[in-house]
Amino acid sequence: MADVDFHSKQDDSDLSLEGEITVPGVAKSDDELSTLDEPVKDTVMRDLRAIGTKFFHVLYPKTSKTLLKEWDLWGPLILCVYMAMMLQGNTSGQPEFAEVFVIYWIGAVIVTLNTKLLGGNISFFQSVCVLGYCVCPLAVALSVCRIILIANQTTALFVVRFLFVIAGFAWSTFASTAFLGDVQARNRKVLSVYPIFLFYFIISWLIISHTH
Amino acid sequence: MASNASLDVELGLNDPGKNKDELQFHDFPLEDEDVEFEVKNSHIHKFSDFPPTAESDEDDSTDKSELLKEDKKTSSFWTFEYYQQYFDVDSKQVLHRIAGSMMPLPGRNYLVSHIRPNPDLYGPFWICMTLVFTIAIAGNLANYLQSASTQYEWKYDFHKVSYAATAIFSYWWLIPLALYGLLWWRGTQSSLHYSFLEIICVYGYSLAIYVPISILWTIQVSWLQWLLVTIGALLSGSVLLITFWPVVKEDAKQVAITVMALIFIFNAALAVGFVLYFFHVPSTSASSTIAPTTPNVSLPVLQHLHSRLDMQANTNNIAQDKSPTVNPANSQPFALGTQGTKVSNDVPMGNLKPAPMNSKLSVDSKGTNHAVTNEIKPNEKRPQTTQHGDTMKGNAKNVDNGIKKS
Repeated sequence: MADVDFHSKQDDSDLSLEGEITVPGVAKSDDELSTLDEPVKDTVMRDLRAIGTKFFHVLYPKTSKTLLKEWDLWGPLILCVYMAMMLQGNTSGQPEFAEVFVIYWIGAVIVTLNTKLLGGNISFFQSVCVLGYCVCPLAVALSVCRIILIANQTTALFVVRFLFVIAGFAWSTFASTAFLGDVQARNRKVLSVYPIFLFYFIISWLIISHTH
Repeated sequence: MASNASLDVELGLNDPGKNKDELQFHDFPLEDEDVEFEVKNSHIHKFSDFPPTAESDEDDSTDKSELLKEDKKTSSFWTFEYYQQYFDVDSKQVLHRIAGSMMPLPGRNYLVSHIRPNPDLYGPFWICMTLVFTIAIAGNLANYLQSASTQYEWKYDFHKVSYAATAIFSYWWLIPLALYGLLWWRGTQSSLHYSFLEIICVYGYSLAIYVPISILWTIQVSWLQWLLVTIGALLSGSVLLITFWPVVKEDAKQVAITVMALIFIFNAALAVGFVLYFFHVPSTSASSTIAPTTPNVSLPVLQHLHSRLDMQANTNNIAQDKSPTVNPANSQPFALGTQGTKVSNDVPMGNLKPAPMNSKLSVDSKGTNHAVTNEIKPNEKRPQTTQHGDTMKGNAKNVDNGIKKS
């Protein structure tokens, strides 16, 4: 009996290995006929549509595998430049453009490395892609905050800003854990989710304390 | 056939690396009941403990430390797997270690009881990261609470993050490095030997108590802040002391006590530094006036400034005092020059308007310093100025040059 159990386990792991080989999206793009003939507009539009689809999946995190299939770093780059431009301040004490940029990328890299070191079953850039795209709700909250900041500041408006940032933070964390939660073994799930939580918490702090 | 089977099972028990192969070989139905019993035991012992994703033997955390040592040798320093062994913990283990780092129990060595089989870097690293940001955020919050009552001109200071990170990460690495070097240098004969990784691990976890404390430090009550410092330093400090006492106790008594005192003092100094720098701003920090820099200015500079003063006085004379306004660039050297010659004792530094300054200076300096009177008074002739001292001669030459240029 014991032997049979062991062998069934090993068969499972073999199966999952086989399944994984077919997952990366490279094969899919190979199947499509050559993109050399098509107009540039079509190519650009297809890429833009792919980016848009990813943003939609982040804002509406229902299916968990779509974001993992084909990673790109365009969305994270756009979000990062946008947030760094919005958050930079020229007075002393506020973060520079480069500091926001570095926090964004280094933070994503450290969180990814942490997932990998804990034995997570995900490729490096897939994780960076997901973490980058999941900042999207916080970027929306930042836009709202910037609009609110045009008006004269009162306590009520601060509360509104605070609620928006909290909502964005919760949304970001929820979306990223929906995508990245399954890659870790069960007894280590908390360990891999905590750094993600911290990462989005820091970005939320940058947004809420930006007052000029 | 039966004897062969039993032999294979024994091999499987001794050598886990070959275990899979041996057990695959054991698919045959076994007649001997004793042998089957042994196989069952070995199966339960070996394979129920593997995490499902684990392909290599390195992730076998519950096995003996002998295995771990063997694996450390096999995986190279440059491979990713080498670092994975330092993150080989699960959630309960980390929580257990964090809780243990806050509760000193006499007689329970924290390193041996909590860390020993496999020291990790996950906990220490993320505790330090968390502490950096809680201190930066809570420090800003404390600053805001202080400024809220007086003036609403508050700006958050992002760069507290870098100061906190520098302090915490250097404490986390430098103190264990020094401690490890000291232990290695003293060459203790005790049976306990702490590796560098273990010391780093203990030090990282010992900072965990400051995470909740740093949030509580935002409450701007002075005695509460100092109470929290005392609690944190006592709890985590005594865990450190209990942990490191066994390795140094067989050394000379003075050395042992010094090491213990240093460990405790550094830990407490970190906490005190946090409070004083990030949270505890004294209430009377209002006066931020620009201090005059004359005491540090060297003599040639003063003379140069002085000559510009003369020039200005003369040009004023030339212009017949028609222009009441002097631009700030000229007025500042004016003020500096007058203080350099110790004339403007009565003149307030903030008063930089030219017309009253001139009159006041001439009145004040009449009794005290004749040379300056000569310079300042617009109607005096220059040859009189040159009669007073060597430096004044130099000044007069400068004035000459200045006038020719203008």
